Amino acid sequence: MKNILIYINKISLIFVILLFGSTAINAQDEKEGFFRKHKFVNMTEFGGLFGRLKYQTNYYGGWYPYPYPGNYPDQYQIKNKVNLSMQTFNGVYIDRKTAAGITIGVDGYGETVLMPIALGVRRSLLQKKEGGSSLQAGIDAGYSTTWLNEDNTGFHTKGGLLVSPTIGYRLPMRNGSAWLINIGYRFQRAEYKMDRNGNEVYWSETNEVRKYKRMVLRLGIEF
Amino acid sequence: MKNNYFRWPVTILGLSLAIGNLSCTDDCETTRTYRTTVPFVLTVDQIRNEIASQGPQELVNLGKIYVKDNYIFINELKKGLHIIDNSNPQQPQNIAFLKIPGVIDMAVKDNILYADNYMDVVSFDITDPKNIKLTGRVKDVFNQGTADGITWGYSPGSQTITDYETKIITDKIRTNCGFLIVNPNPIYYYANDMAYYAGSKGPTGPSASGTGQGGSMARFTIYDDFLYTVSQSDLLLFNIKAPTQPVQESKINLGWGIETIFPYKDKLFIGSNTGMYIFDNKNPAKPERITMFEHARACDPVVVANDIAYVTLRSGFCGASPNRLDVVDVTNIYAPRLLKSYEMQNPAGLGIDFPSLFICEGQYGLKSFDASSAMDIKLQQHIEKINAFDVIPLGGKHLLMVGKDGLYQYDTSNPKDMKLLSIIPVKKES
Repeated sequence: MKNILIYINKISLIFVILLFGSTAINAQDEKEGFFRKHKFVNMTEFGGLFGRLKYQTNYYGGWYPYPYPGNYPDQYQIKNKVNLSMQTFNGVYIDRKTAAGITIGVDGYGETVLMPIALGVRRSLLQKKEGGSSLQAGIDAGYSTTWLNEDNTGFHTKGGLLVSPTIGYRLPMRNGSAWLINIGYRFQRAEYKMDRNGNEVYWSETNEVRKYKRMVLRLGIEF
Repeated sequence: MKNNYFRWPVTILGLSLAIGNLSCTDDCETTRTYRTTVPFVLTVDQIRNEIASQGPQELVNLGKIYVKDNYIFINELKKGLHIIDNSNPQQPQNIAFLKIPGVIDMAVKDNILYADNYMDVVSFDITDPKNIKLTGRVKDVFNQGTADGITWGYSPGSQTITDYETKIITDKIRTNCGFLIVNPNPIYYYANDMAYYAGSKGPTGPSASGTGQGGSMARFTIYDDFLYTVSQSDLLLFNIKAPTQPVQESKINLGWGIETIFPYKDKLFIGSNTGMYIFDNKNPAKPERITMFEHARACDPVVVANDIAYVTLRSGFCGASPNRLDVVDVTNIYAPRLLKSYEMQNPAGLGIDFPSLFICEGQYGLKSFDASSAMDIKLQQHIEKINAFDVIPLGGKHLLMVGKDGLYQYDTSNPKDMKLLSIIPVKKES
């Protein structure tokens, strides 16, 4: 039952995107009303999330309290992590320099796949020449959903806050589109809960609060 | 515009500094909550000297119940016995507490109460419930015992008992974001007891010999001049001709996993977690094994009425079995025969007051059945939203039911519409 709901969610989301896209394009074609005044813009980017992990290695996950408090100092290990990230920003230019819209992305963190839905703003900061390259800043803030995520039995992933400021270059092409190179920061919160298991005497449950803090580097296209 | 050229680099510098300051290290913290047991050691002297008759105390962690005349004895698991004056079932009075370390089981004959005191069996004079006196003790009877899934052990060499207390522990660990789940080690743990489930006795009520009513889950029972107790593997016999001082007579090995003892007519029904032993008890000093009725590995409280045995099987510490009620014909004691099985939710203690059958369904509540026909047992009433693990019907008019939340009494004159008479609530752990 739950699966069906998830599928309905996913399918309806695709419809919303299509609807949004088609109406936007239609509107642009007809050059009417709102979209005549505010040009539609799509920025689709792919990239990586670069970061590290720091985790305790000497935790004894047994059924008895161990190590006894204070006996052993915690030991940590560091590991590098790179994950895939893609996103598409659909919006309109609200003035000559600023575009605002909705960002939908897919971020894979190993087995956990988060699908953030966020409000985004892109603003050109610096442009020496009309029609030339510009320095562009952007920020996305929203909520990471877990619609694309599948959980192991007994585990539940919950999404959370997403904040991602970036800065980068917009390199216009002759046909009116532009290349994008963006670098920035990506903060994403998620929870990973393990249901209670065991028997009436010995049981265990865990809840992992994840704060992904990554440097993001993305390449993409604007049209 | 000149201003602009100066402003933006500063902003960019500031922004990059801000980004640089934010660490790019994932921060994953797992909160692990687990319930476990922590050992503690008691010396034999502590156990033997800490018996005391005290004023009434609040109910916290209930175990078995036992009824004698107007008194209800409720086991406060391994702490002692609450004594309830039930002369008026609408207003039961908690009158006293008898502190007995390690007590799990009890039985009463006339004015003598028998109970276990970790490894010993002790007897008390309960003529005055507010001032109970220790009268006798049989030393070193049991080597281990189980209650609430926790097994204690006795080491005669060092004269100590090792018992365990449960604790809920919360740890916080910095983990690597799900790439390594803090998974507890698998539980290689097995206990075969259900000590906190007492069932109930058949329709006979308090017998003529002056004993009280225990449960189908009881490990202590009195028949004639004998006190029968079962340990994990043995049937132990005590002669109580001199009631104040029991004398150990014999020991019959039964194999592992013995749970309960239930006397019916001149038979003893002994429930183990693989089946039901039937002993002939014509000579109470020398019970003889007749037969065994095997079933799936399960917890199995048994009650018997009119040569029909009602056995509930449930999943739990005793094994992974289906949850069901088995109705077994024991007319021919040499060849017990399964008549029919009924699906249940999570049946624990049960009691029969023929033709009414009462079954506790743990968190699913209490059910009353019409068992006039063994082949067609019909549900009459289902009281939901209460936790029920033990029931004792008392002489056709009312029943005692104990659950995690307290001791309930119901008027059962109409088994289709049982009325709540009173509740003694359990003190909530804050």
